Amino acid sequence: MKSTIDKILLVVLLIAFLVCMYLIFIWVPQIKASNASEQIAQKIFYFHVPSAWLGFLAFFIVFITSVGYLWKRDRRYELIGVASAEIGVLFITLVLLTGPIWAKPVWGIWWTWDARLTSSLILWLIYVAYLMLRRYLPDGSKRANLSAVVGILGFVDVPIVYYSIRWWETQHPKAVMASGEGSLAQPMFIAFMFSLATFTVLYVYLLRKRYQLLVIEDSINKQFKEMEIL
Amino acid sequence: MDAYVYLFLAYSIIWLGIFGFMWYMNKKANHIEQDMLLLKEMIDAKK
Amino acid sequence: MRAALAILRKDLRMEFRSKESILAMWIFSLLIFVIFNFTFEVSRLVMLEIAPGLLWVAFIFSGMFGLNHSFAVEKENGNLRSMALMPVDGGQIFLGKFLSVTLIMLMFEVLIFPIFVIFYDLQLSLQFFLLIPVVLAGTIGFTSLGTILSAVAVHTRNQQILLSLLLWPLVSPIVIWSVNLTSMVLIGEIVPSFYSLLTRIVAFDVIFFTLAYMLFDFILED
Repeated sequence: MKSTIDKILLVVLLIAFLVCMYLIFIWVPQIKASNASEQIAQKIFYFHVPSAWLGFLAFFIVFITSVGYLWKRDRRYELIGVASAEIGVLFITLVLLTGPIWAKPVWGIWWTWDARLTSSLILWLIYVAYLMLRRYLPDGSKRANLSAVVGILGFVDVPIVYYSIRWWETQHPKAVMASGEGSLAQPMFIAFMFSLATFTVLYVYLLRKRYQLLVIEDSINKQFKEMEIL
Repeated sequence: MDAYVYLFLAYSIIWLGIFGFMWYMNKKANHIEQDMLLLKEMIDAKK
Repeated sequence: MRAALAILRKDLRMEFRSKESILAMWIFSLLIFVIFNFTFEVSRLVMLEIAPGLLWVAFIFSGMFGLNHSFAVEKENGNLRSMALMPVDGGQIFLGKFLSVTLIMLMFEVLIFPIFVIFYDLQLSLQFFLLIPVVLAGTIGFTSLGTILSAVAVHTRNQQILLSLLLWPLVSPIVIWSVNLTSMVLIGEIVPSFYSLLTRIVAFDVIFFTLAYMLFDFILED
């Protein structure tokens, strides 16, 4: 049962990505009145923004599972949280790497301390701290508790961080990298939505797979422990 | 047209990231497989 | 409430006897000021713009000493277990630790401030009293989050690195707002937004103090 869903997901995913690339590079009409760099900007945003959104979703899932774990003490919550955190790091890393690459040709700068980028960086740092904390602790309920607390505190703070930097921006007018999320023309909107859907499927697929690995690891470790006791 | 270079770079990073993560999961799966074999041996030895 | 006060009393007594924390914090901030003088050569005007930020950098970096010390001591004495076994609400233990760390940090801040004024040749005015609520609110936000995260980090081998990694990103709003408010006071232009900003810091404090208080039990559990 499990593996049929995964197989279907994988096939759907591959097709979706192919369709995505087609939509982005061939189907979407060129904006006549813009220069090359703006056109480039257009293309990256179809992958860059969904990565960011899914990264945030992943963190939200970490938050939910953290609360769930502290409430129900179910190991499964902990494992889903860990899997989601790893995938979140992946997505946000991609956002942080593609952001500057996108910005350089378009705005001439690698980085700016605007609310979006900075909050993404801070989000990344919190996830990384979450995973590092888990790495330096032995497996068990203690680690589960501590990482759950961090997962909760971190998530509550991220909107506050974003909001405070937004306010800070008004004090220090700087190069703010508008991501062109203004009104999107119809075909671009469709392409973007499709890209978003594709990334969502990617997230679900990676989450399932990562979680399954964690579960199997768990049962094997349990077997080892039982053997040693015997 | 070096803006296209950046575009290419960005997309390569994304694909690398995604496949990299899958490769990472594959490594973990291999570790698990090794552990499973070890476990099997131990169970057989007990018998 | 009694347990919290007992913990507070114990920590304060230890601190007053040895003065470890406050001394370390004070000297460290002093060093930061000295080094800064060599690394950045700026005009007086620019200095006035940077000073508030420098003050809070010193506070935050030194504050880490206090936070680390607070729980490192418990770990050394093997108290982590005993704290868990105490028939007291975890929140009480958090309250006690929070109060001791906050008080010690506030004392350090009061002691380093004159040095700051002298080193950077700041013109004091009556408006400086407005710094009191700013520093108070900012410090409380820092120590609320800091206390619970320190309790988390103390369970690992690299307590200090992990605490820094966990705490600094999370307290960035406090730093942003506090520096801005401090800047207003030092320059002497108290804009109306002063009070709304201060309110924001207080709101932050309330949110995270409450969260930390509620979650602390889980840290102690086994």
